[in-house]
Amino acid sequence: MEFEQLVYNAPAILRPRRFAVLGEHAILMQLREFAGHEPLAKDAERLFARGAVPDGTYVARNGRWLPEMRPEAIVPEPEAPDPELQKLSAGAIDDLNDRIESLETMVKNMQRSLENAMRSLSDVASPPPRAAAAPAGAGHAVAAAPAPAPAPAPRREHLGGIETASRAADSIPAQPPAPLPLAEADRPAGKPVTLPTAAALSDLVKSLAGGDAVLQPAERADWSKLAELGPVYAAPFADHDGNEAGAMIMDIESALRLAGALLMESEEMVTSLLEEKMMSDEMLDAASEVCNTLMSAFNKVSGNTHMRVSKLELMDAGRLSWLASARKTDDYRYSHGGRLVMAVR
Amino acid sequence: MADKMPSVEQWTECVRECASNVGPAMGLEPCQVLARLKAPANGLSGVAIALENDRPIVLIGVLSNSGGRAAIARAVFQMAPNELPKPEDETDAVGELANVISGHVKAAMKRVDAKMRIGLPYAVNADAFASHQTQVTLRVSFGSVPAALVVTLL
Repeated sequence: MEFEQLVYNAPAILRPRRFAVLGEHAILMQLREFAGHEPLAKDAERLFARGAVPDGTYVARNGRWLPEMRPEAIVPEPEAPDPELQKLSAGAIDDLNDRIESLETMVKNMQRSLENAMRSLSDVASPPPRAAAAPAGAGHAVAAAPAPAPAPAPRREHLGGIETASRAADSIPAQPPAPLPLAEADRPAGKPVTLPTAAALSDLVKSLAGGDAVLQPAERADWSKLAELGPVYAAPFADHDGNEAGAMIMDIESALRLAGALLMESEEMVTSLLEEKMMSDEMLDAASEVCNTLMSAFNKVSGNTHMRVSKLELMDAGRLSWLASARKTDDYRYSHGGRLVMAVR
Repeated sequence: MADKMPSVEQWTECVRECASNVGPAMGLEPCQVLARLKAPANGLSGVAIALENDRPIVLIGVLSNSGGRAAIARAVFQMAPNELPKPEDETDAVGELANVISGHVKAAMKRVDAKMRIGLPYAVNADAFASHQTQVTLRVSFGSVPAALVVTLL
Protein backbone atom coordinates (compact mmCIF):
# COMPACT_ATOMS: atom_id res chain seq x y z
CA MET A 1 0.00 0.00 0.00
CA GLU A 2 1.25 3.47 -0.88
CA PHE A 3 0.77 6.30 1.57
CA GLU A 4 1.17 10.01 1.03
CA GLN A 5 1.29 12.27 4.06
CA LEU A 6 1.69 16.01 4.37
CA VAL A 7 4.33 16.75 6.96
CA TYR A 8 5.81 20.02 8.13
CA ASN A 9 9.21 20.58 6.55
CA ALA A 10 9.53 23.96 8.24
CA PRO A 11 7.11 25.86 10.48
CA ALA A 12 5.25 27.16 7.43
CA ILE A 13 6.08 24.65 4.71
CA LEU A 14 4.19 21.41 4.20
CA ARG A 15 5.74 18.80 2.01
CA PRO A 16 4.42 15.48 0.80
CA ARG A 17 5.99 12.32 2.25
CA ARG A 18 5.45 9.10 0.34
CA PHE A 19 6.10 5.63 1.57
CA ALA A 20 4.88 2.11 0.97
CA VAL A 21 3.87 -0.82 3.15
CA LEU A 22 3.65 -4.40 1.96
CA GLY A 23 1.52 -7.26 3.33
CA GLU A 24 -1.91 -7.45 4.95
CA HIS A 25 -0.66 -7.34 8.52
CA ALA A 26 1.66 -4.38 7.93
CA ILE A 27 -1.04 -2.46 6.08
CA LEU A 28 -3.55 -2.93 8.90
CA MET A 29 -0.95 -1.95 11.52
CA GLN A 30 -0.10 1.19 9.60
CA LEU A 31 -3.74 2.17 9.12
CA ARG A 32 -4.43 1.72 12.84
CA GLU A 33 -1.61 4.14 13.62
CA PHE A 34 -3.40 7.00 11.89
CA ALA A 35 -5.70 8.68 14.41
CA GLY A 36 -9.16 9.50 13.06
CA HIS A 37 -9.03 6.87 10.30
CA GLU A 38 -10.50 3.88 12.17
CA PRO A 39 -13.21 3.29 9.51
CA LEU A 40 -10.48 2.82 6.91
CA ALA A 41 -8.75 0.21 9.09
CA LYS A 42 -12.05 -1.64 9.73
CA ASP A 43 -13.00 -1.50 6.07
CA ALA A 44 -9.56 -2.87 5.14
CA GLU A 45 -10.04 -5.75 7.60
CA ARG A 46 -13.39 -6.57 5.94
CA LEU A 47 -11.81 -6.34 2.51
CA PHE A 48 -8.96 -8.70 3.42
CA ALA A 49 -11.39 -11.14 5.10
CA ARG A 50 -13.84 -11.10 2.16
CA GLY A 51 -11.19 -11.25 -0.51
CA ALA A 52 -10.07 -8.36 -2.63
CA VAL A 53 -10.31 -8.06 -6.42
CA PRO A 54 -7.30 -9.94 -7.85
CA ASP A 55 -4.62 -7.48 -9.01
CA GLY A 56 -7.05 -4.68 -8.25
CA THR A 57 -6.19 -1.25 -6.95
CA TYR A 58 -8.18 0.39 -4.17
CA VAL A 59 -8.39 4.05 -3.31
CA ALA A 60 -9.65 5.62 -0.09
CA ARG A 61 -12.81 7.73 -0.48
CA ASN A 62 -14.97 8.99 2.39
CA GLY A 63 -13.54 6.45 4.83
CA ARG A 64 -14.13 3.47 2.52
CA TRP A 65 -11.88 1.50 0.20
CA LEU A 66 -13.21 1.59 -3.33
CA PRO A 67 -11.80 -0.30 -6.34
CA GLU A 68 -10.03 2.10 -8.66
CA MET A 69 -11.42 2.17 -12.20
CA ARG A 70 -9.23 0.41 -14.69
CA PRO A 71 -7.58 2.82 -17.13
CA GLU A 72 -9.14 1.16 -20.20
CA ALA A 73 -12.62 1.78 -18.74
CA ILE A 74 -12.05 5.51 -18.49
CA VAL A 75 -13.03 7.48 -21.56
CA PRO A 76 -10.33 10.10 -22.01
CA GLU A 77 -11.42 13.72 -22.20
CA PRO A 78 -10.68 15.44 -25.47
CA GLU A 79 -7.35 17.11 -24.93
CA ALA A 80 -7.01 20.82 -25.57
CA PRO A 81 -3.70 21.90 -27.08
CA ASP A 82 -1.29 22.44 -24.21
CA PRO A 83 -0.04 26.06 -24.21
CA GLU A 84 3.07 24.91 -22.36
CA LEU A 85 3.93 22.41 -25.10
CA GLN A 86 3.15 25.00 -27.79
CA LYS A 87 5.57 27.36 -26.05
CA LEU A 88 8.23 24.62 -26.00
CA SER A 89 7.73 23.96 -29.71
CA ALA A 90 8.02 27.67 -30.43
CA GLY A 91 11.35 27.69 -28.55
CA ALA A 92 12.62 24.80 -30.67
CA ILE A 93 11.57 26.61 -33.86
CA ASP A 94 13.37 29.77 -32.70
CA ASP A 95 16.51 27.70 -32.14
CA LEU A 96 16.22 26.20 -35.61
CA ASN A 97 15.71 29.66 -37.12
CA ASP A 98 18.84 30.87 -35.34
CA ARG A 99 20.81 27.94 -36.73
CA ILE A 100 19.46 28.51 -40.26
CA GLU A 101 20.37 32.18 -39.99
CA SER A 102 23.92 31.42 -38.89
CA LEU A 103 24.30 28.79 -41.65
CA GLU A 104 23.09 31.32 -44.24
CA THR A 105 25.63 33.81 -42.96
CA MET A 106 28.34 31.20 -43.18
CA VAL A 107 27.38 30.37 -46.78
CA LYS A 108 27.38 34.09 -47.68
CA ASN A 109 30.85 34.50 -46.18
CA MET A 110 32.10 31.48 -48.12
CA GLN A 111 30.59 32.85 -51.34
CA ARG A 112 32.29 36.17 -50.69
CA SER A 113 35.66 34.48 -50.14
CA LEU A 114 35.17 32.40 -53.29
CA GLU A 115 34.31 35.48 -55.36
CA ASN A 116 37.41 37.29 -54.08
CA ALA A 117 39.58 34.29 -54.88
CA MET A 118 38.07 33.96 -58.38
CA ARG A 119 38.63 37.66 -59.03
CA SER A 120 42.22 37.42 -57.87
CA LEU A 121 42.81 34.44 -60.15
CA SER A 122 41.23 36.09 -63.20
CA ASP A 123 43.14 39.31 -62.60
CA VAL A 124 46.41 37.45 -62.30
CA ALA A 125 45.61 35.75 -65.62
CA SER A 126 44.85 39.06 -67.41
CA PRO A 127 46.22 42.18 -65.64
CA PRO A 128 44.36 45.37 -66.65
CA PRO A 129 46.38 48.12 -68.36
CA ARG A 130 45.81 50.80 -65.66
CA ALA A 131 47.33 48.81 -62.81
CA ALA A 132 50.41 51.02 -62.63
CA ALA A 133 48.24 54.06 -61.79
CA ALA A 134 46.95 52.56 -58.59
CA PRO A 135 47.87 54.45 -55.43
CA ALA A 136 49.92 52.48 -52.96
CA GLY A 137 47.92 50.66 -50.28
CA ALA A 138 44.59 50.92 -52.12
CA GLY A 139 44.52 47.24 -52.95
CA HIS A 140 42.01 46.29 -50.29
CA ALA A 141 39.56 48.98 -51.32
CA VAL A 142 39.71 48.05 -54.95
CA ALA A 143 39.27 44.39 -54.16
CA ALA A 144 35.74 45.20 -53.16
CA ALA A 145 34.88 46.95 -56.42
CA PRO A 146 36.75 45.46 -59.31
CA ALA A 147 34.06 46.30 -61.87
CA PRO A 148 34.33 49.56 -63.82
CA ALA A 149 32.45 52.58 -62.43
CA PRO A 150 29.05 52.30 -64.23
CA ALA A 151 27.17 50.20 -61.68
CA PRO A 152 28.98 49.99 -58.35
CA ALA A 153 25.94 50.09 -56.08
CA PRO A 154 24.57 46.55 -56.47
CA ARG A 155 28.00 45.00 -55.94
CA ARG A 156 28.53 47.06 -52.79
CA GLU A 157 25.23 45.78 -51.45
CA HIS A 158 26.33 42.22 -52.15
CA LEU A 159 29.61 42.72 -50.30
CA GLY A 160 27.99 43.95 -47.08
CA GLY A 161 30.95 43.08 -44.82
CA ILE A 162 33.35 45.48 -46.55
CA GLU A 163 30.97 48.35 -47.10
CA THR A 164 33.43 51.09 -46.06
CA ALA A 165 36.14 49.87 -48.37
CA SER A 166 33.89 49.68 -51.40
CA ARG A 167 32.57 53.20 -50.75
CA ALA A 168 36.16 54.44 -50.93
CA ALA A 169 36.49 52.59 -54.21
CA ASP A 170 33.83 54.77 -55.86
CA SER A 171 36.39 57.48 -56.52
CA ILE A 172 39.29 55.20 -57.40
CA PRO A 173 39.86 53.85 -60.88
CA ALA A 174 39.51 50.10 -61.29
CA GLN A 175 42.73 48.21 -60.81
CA PRO A 176 43.82 44.68 -60.03
CA PRO A 177 43.03 43.53 -56.50
CA ALA A 178 45.89 42.64 -54.22
CA PRO A 179 45.48 39.61 -51.97
CA LEU A 180 44.53 40.56 -48.42
CA PRO A 181 47.43 40.40 -45.99
CA LEU A 182 46.81 37.78 -43.30
CA ALA A 183 46.67 40.29 -40.46
CA GLU A 184 44.07 42.31 -42.33
CA ALA A 185 41.96 39.22 -42.99
CA ASP A 186 42.11 38.24 -39.33
CA ARG A 187 40.93 41.61 -38.13
CA PRO A 188 37.36 41.39 -36.84
CA ALA A 189 34.76 43.20 -38.91
CA GLY A 190 32.16 43.32 -36.10
CA LYS A 191 31.75 45.74 -33.24
CA PRO A 192 34.56 45.83 -30.67
CA VAL A 193 33.89 43.63 -27.67
CA THR A 194 34.15 44.71 -24.03
CA LEU A 195 35.50 42.12 -21.60
CA PRO A 196 33.32 41.24 -18.59
CA THR A 197 34.41 42.11 -15.05
CA ALA A 198 36.19 39.65 -12.75
CA ALA A 199 33.13 39.71 -10.47
CA ALA A 200 30.77 38.70 -13.29
CA LEU A 201 33.05 35.82 -14.30
CA SER A 202 33.56 34.77 -10.67
CA ASP A 203 29.80 34.58 -10.10
CA LEU A 204 29.59 32.03 -12.89
CA VAL A 205 32.61 30.13 -11.58
CA LYS A 206 30.98 30.00 -8.12
CA SER A 207 27.87 28.43 -9.58
CA LEU A 208 30.12 25.84 -11.23
CA ALA A 209 32.58 25.05 -8.52
CA GLY A 210 31.12 26.27 -5.23
CA GLY A 211 31.08 29.43 -3.17
CA ASP A 212 34.85 29.51 -2.55
CA ALA A 213 35.76 29.41 -6.24
CA VAL A 214 36.76 32.73 -7.83
CA LEU A 215 38.78 34.16 -10.67
CA GLN A 216 41.36 36.55 -9.32
CA PRO A 217 42.86 39.17 -11.66
CA ALA A 218 46.53 38.33 -12.30
CA GLU A 219 49.57 39.84 -13.95
CA ARG A 220 49.79 39.48 -17.71
CA ALA A 221 51.40 36.21 -18.72
CA ASP A 222 53.33 35.34 -21.86
CA TRP A 223 51.00 32.64 -23.16
CA SER A 224 53.30 31.67 -26.00
CA LYS A 225 55.88 30.71 -23.39
CA LEU A 226 53.26 28.97 -21.24
CA ALA A 227 52.24 26.94 -24.29
CA GLU A 228 55.83 25.75 -24.65
CA LEU A 229 55.85 24.60 -21.01
CA GLY A 230 52.55 22.69 -21.04
CA PRO A 231 49.32 22.24 -22.95
CA VAL A 232 47.29 25.41 -23.48
CA TYR A 233 43.74 25.41 -24.83
CA ALA A 234 41.84 28.17 -26.57
CA ALA A 235 38.21 28.71 -27.50
CA PRO A 236 37.69 31.53 -30.00
CA PHE A 237 34.43 33.45 -29.87
CA ALA A 238 32.67 35.17 -32.74
CA ASP A 239 29.50 37.09 -33.49
CA HIS A 240 26.63 35.65 -35.54
CA ASP A 241 28.26 36.81 -38.78
CA GLY A 242 31.28 34.69 -37.97
CA ASN A 243 33.54 37.67 -37.19
CA GLU A 244 36.03 36.34 -34.67
CA ALA A 245 36.27 38.79 -31.79
CA GLY A 246 38.66 37.10 -29.37
CA ALA A 247 39.30 33.97 -27.38
CA MET A 248 39.25 32.39 -23.95
CA ILE A 249 42.54 30.68 -23.24
CA MET A 250 43.22 28.25 -20.40
CA ASP A 251 46.21 26.31 -19.19
CA ILE A 252 45.65 22.60 -18.63
CA GLU A 253 45.20 23.00 -14.89
CA SER A 254 42.38 25.54 -15.04
CA ALA A 255 40.77 23.66 -17.95
CA LEU A 256 40.83 20.34 -16.05
CA ARG A 257 39.76 21.82 -12.73
CA LEU A 258 36.86 23.79 -14.21
CA ALA A 259 35.81 20.82 -16.34
CA GLY A 260 36.02 18.59 -13.26
CA ALA A 261 33.84 21.04 -11.33
CA LEU A 262 31.24 21.01 -14.09
CA LEU A 263 31.14 17.22 -14.14
CA MET A 264 31.30 17.10 -10.32
CA GLU A 265 34.30 14.80 -10.61
CA SER A 266 36.30 13.95 -7.52
CA GLU A 267 39.44 15.91 -6.63
CA GLU A 268 41.46 12.68 -6.90
CA MET A 269 40.37 12.11 -10.47
CA VAL A 270 41.23 15.67 -11.52
CA THR A 271 44.58 15.51 -9.73
CA SER A 272 45.50 12.26 -11.44
CA LEU A 273 44.69 13.69 -14.89
CA LEU A 274 46.69 16.78 -14.01
CA GLU A 275 49.71 14.76 -12.96
CA GLU A 276 49.64 12.95 -16.29
CA LYS A 277 48.86 16.23 -18.11
CA MET A 278 46.11 14.30 -19.83
CA MET A 279 43.00 15.90 -21.27
CA SER A 280 40.36 13.31 -22.14
CA ASP A 281 37.70 13.99 -24.77
CA GLU A 282 35.08 14.05 -22.06
CA MET A 283 36.99 16.62 -20.02
CA LEU A 284 37.67 18.72 -23.13
CA ASP A 285 33.94 18.72 -23.91
CA ALA A 286 33.21 19.74 -20.34
CA ALA A 287 35.84 22.51 -20.45
CA SER A 288 34.20 23.74 -23.67
CA GLU A 289 30.89 23.83 -21.81
CA VAL A 290 32.60 25.91 -19.13
CA CYS A 291 33.66 28.40 -21.83
CA ASN A 292 30.07 28.42 -23.03
CA THR A 293 28.91 29.23 -19.50
CA LEU A 294 31.52 32.00 -19.16
CA MET A 295 30.41 33.41 -22.51
CA SER A 296 27.14 34.46 -20.92
CA ALA A 297 29.10 37.07 -18.93
CA PHE A 298 30.33 38.56 -22.24
CA ASN A 299 26.82 38.62 -23.62
CA LYS A 300 25.49 40.43 -20.55
CA VAL A 301 27.92 43.34 -20.99
CA SER A 302 25.95 46.34 -22.22
CA GLY A 303 26.79 47.14 -25.84
CA ASN A 304 28.34 43.77 -26.63
CA THR A 305 26.89 41.96 -29.60
CA HIS A 306 25.69 38.41 -28.92
CA MET A 307 28.54 35.98 -29.43
CA ARG A 308 29.10 32.26 -29.55
CA VAL A 309 32.16 30.44 -28.37
CA SER A 310 33.70 27.60 -30.36
CA LYS A 311 34.94 24.34 -28.90
CA LEU A 312 38.07 24.52 -26.82
CA GLU A 313 41.10 23.14 -28.64
CA LEU A 314 44.78 22.64 -28.05
CA MET A 315 46.84 25.66 -29.17
CA ASP A 316 50.50 25.78 -29.99
CA ALA A 317 52.68 28.78 -29.24
CA GLY A 318 52.59 30.03 -32.84
CA ARG A 319 48.81 30.25 -32.95
CA LEU A 320 48.82 32.28 -29.74
CA SER A 321 51.21 34.93 -31.04
CA TRP A 322 48.35 37.32 -31.78
CA LEU A 323 47.85 37.70 -28.02
CA ALA A 324 50.87 39.97 -27.85
CA SER A 325 49.06 42.53 -30.00
CA ALA A 326 45.55 41.85 -28.67
CA ARG A 327 43.42 44.96 -28.16
CA LYS A 328 42.77 43.94 -24.55
CA THR A 329 43.56 40.96 -22.36
CA ASP A 330 42.45 40.12 -18.81
CA ASP A 331 44.57 37.47 -17.09
CA TYR A 332 43.14 35.50 -14.17
CA ARG A 333 44.22 32.93 -11.65
CA TYR A 334 41.60 30.33 -10.77
CA SER A 335 41.42 30.00 -6.98
CA HIS A 336 41.43 26.17 -7.20
CA GLY A 337 44.47 26.18 -9.49
CA GLY A 338 45.55 27.21 -12.95
CA ARG A 339 45.29 30.37 -14.99
CA LEU A 340 43.28 31.68 -17.90
CA VAL A 341 42.99 34.77 -20.03
CA MET A 342 40.17 36.54 -21.81
CA ALA A 343 41.40 38.36 -24.89
CA VAL A 344 39.82 40.48 -27.61
CA ARG A 345 41.47 41.17 -30.94
CA MET B 1 -1.64 8.06 -26.68
CA ALA B 2 2.01 7.24 -27.41
CA ASP B 3 2.22 9.53 -30.43
CA LYS B 4 1.03 12.46 -28.29
CA MET B 5 3.67 11.83 -25.65
CA PRO B 6 6.10 14.77 -25.34
CA SER B 7 9.68 14.31 -26.45
CA VAL B 8 12.50 13.96 -23.96
CA GLU B 9 13.40 17.59 -24.72
CA GLN B 10 9.94 18.73 -23.68
CA TRP B 11 10.05 16.66 -20.51
CA THR B 12 13.48 18.10 -19.76
CA GLU B 13 12.28 21.65 -20.24
CA CYS B 14 9.39 20.93 -17.89
CA VAL B 15 11.74 19.42 -15.28
CA ARG B 16 14.04 22.43 -15.59
CA GLU B 17 11.19 24.86 -15.07
CA CYS B 18 9.78 22.92 -12.12
CA ALA B 19 13.22 22.66 -10.50
CA SER B 20 13.66 26.41 -10.78
CA ASN B 21 10.36 26.92 -8.92
CA VAL B 22 11.01 24.29 -6.29
CA GLY B 23 14.50 25.35 -5.10
CA PRO B 24 13.53 28.44 -3.09
CA ALA B 25 10.51 26.68 -1.53
CA MET B 26 12.85 24.02 -0.14
CA GLY B 27 15.42 26.37 1.31
CA LEU B 28 17.72 26.26 -1.72
CA GLU B 29 18.66 29.06 -4.06
CA PRO B 30 17.03 29.24 -7.50
CA CYS B 31 18.11 26.53 -9.90
CA GLN B 32 20.34 27.56 -12.78
CA VAL B 33 21.19 25.31 -15.73
CA LEU B 34 24.93 25.35 -16.43
CA ALA B 35 25.27 22.76 -19.16
CA ARG B 36 23.86 19.69 -20.84
CA LEU B 37 25.90 16.58 -20.33
CA LYS B 38 25.88 13.27 -22.17
CA ALA B 39 25.44 11.40 -18.90
CA PRO B 40 25.97 12.08 -15.21
CA ALA B 41 29.57 11.61 -14.09
CA ASN B 42 30.55 8.47 -12.21
CA GLY B 43 30.54 8.96 -8.49
CA LEU B 44 27.31 10.93 -8.33
CA SER B 45 24.39 9.53 -6.43
CA GLY B 46 20.89 10.55 -5.48
CA VAL B 47 17.29 9.54 -5.95
CA ALA B 48 15.17 8.65 -8.97
CA ILE B 49 11.40 8.72 -9.31
CA ALA B 50 9.34 7.41 -12.20
CA LEU B 51 6.16 9.02 -13.42
CA GLU B 52 3.95 6.18 -14.47
CA ASN B 53 0.53 5.29 -15.75
CA ASP B 54 -0.11 1.65 -16.47
CA ARG B 55 3.56 1.59 -17.37
CA PRO B 56 6.55 3.80 -16.45
CA ILE B 57 6.68 6.92 -18.65
CA VAL B 58 9.64 8.97 -17.54
CA LEU B 59 12.34 8.66 -14.90
CA ILE B 60 13.52 11.81 -13.15
CA GLY B 61 16.81 11.58 -11.28
CA VAL B 62 18.33 14.15 -8.93
CA LEU B 63 22.01 13.40 -8.37
CA SER B 64 24.90 15.18 -6.74
CA ASN B 65 28.35 14.64 -5.30
CA SER B 66 28.96 14.22 -1.56
CA GLY B 67 29.34 17.96 -0.97
CA GLY B 68 26.20 18.72 -2.94
CA ARG B 69 24.13 16.09 -1.14
CA ALA B 70 25.25 17.40 2.25
CA ALA B 71 24.41 20.97 1.20
CA ILE B 72 20.95 19.89 0.00
CA ALA B 73 20.34 18.09 3.33
CA ARG B 74 21.40 21.15 5.32
CA ALA B 75 19.09 23.37 3.28
CA VAL B 76 16.06 21.06 3.29
CA PHE B 77 16.31 20.13 6.99
CA GLN B 78 17.40 23.61 8.06
CA MET B 79 20.59 22.39 9.65
CA ALA B 80 23.43 24.62 10.79
CA PRO B 81 26.05 25.47 8.14
CA ASN B 82 28.73 23.45 9.94
CA GLU B 83 26.47 20.50 10.75
CA LEU B 84 27.37 17.22 9.07
CA PRO B 85 24.27 15.36 7.89
CA LYS B 86 24.10 11.56 8.13
CA PRO B 87 24.18 9.70 4.80
CA GLU B 88 20.53 8.64 5.27
CA ASP B 89 19.55 12.27 5.88
CA GLU B 90 21.28 13.20 2.65
CA THR B 91 19.36 10.55 0.72
CA ASP B 92 16.10 11.65 2.38
CA ALA B 93 16.75 15.28 1.48
CA VAL B 94 17.65 14.55 -2.15
CA GLY B 95 14.60 12.26 -2.23
CA GLU B 96 12.40 15.09 -1.02
CA LEU B 97 13.80 17.38 -3.66
CA ALA B 98 13.21 14.74 -6.34
CA ASN B 99 9.73 14.07 -5.00
CA VAL B 100 8.68 17.71 -5.05
CA ILE B 101 10.15 18.29 -8.51
CA SER B 102 8.34 15.19 -9.78
CA GLY B 103 5.10 16.41 -8.21
CA HIS B 104 5.39 19.69 -10.05
CA VAL B 105 6.23 17.90 -13.29
CA LYS B 106 3.22 15.63 -12.86
CA ALA B 107 0.97 18.64 -12.35
CA ALA B 108 2.49 20.49 -15.31
CA MET B 109 2.08 17.49 -17.59
CA LYS B 110 -1.45 16.70 -16.39
CA ARG B 111 -2.94 17.57 -19.76
CA VAL B 112 -0.68 15.09 -21.46
CA ASP B 113 -1.73 12.28 -19.15
CA ALA B 114 -4.21 12.97 -16.37
CA LYS B 115 -3.83 9.47 -14.94
CA MET B 116 -0.09 9.75 -14.48
CA ARG B 117 1.11 9.22 -10.93
CA ILE B 118 4.38 9.49 -9.04
CA GLY B 119 6.24 6.26 -8.37
CA LEU B 120 8.16 5.51 -5.23
CA PRO B 121 11.54 7.20 -4.86
CA TYR B 122 14.59 4.98 -4.81
CA ALA B 123 18.27 5.61 -4.28
CA VAL B 124 20.43 5.47 -7.40
CA ASN B 125 23.93 6.27 -8.54
CA ALA B 126 25.14 7.54 -11.90
CA ASP B 127 25.57 3.99 -13.25
CA ALA B 128 21.78 3.74 -13.46
CA PHE B 129 21.81 6.40 -16.17
CA ALA B 130 24.01 5.14 -19.00
CA SER B 131 24.01 7.61 -21.88
CA HIS B 132 21.34 6.98 -24.51
CA GLN B 133 19.22 8.87 -26.98
CA THR B 134 16.11 9.40 -24.90
CA GLN B 135 17.98 10.78 -21.93
CA VAL B 136 19.08 14.31 -21.09
CA THR B 137 21.34 15.29 -18.21
CA LEU B 138 21.25 18.88 -17.06
CA ARG B 139 24.10 20.09 -14.89
CA VAL B 140 22.44 22.58 -12.61
CA SER B 141 23.31 24.53 -9.50
CA PHE B 142 21.07 25.77 -6.72
CA GLY B 143 23.22 28.80 -5.97
CA SER B 144 26.57 27.14 -5.32
CA VAL B 145 25.06 23.71 -4.62
CA PRO B 146 25.85 21.42 -7.56
CA ALA B 147 23.39 18.87 -8.89
CA ALA B 148 22.45 16.95 -12.01
CA LEU B 149 18.88 16.48 -13.21
CA VAL B 150 18.57 13.39 -15.38
CA VAL B 151 15.45 12.88 -17.46
CA THR B 152 15.00 9.50 -19.13
CA LEU B 153 12.08 8.63 -21.36
CA LEU B 154 11.12 5.06 -20.55
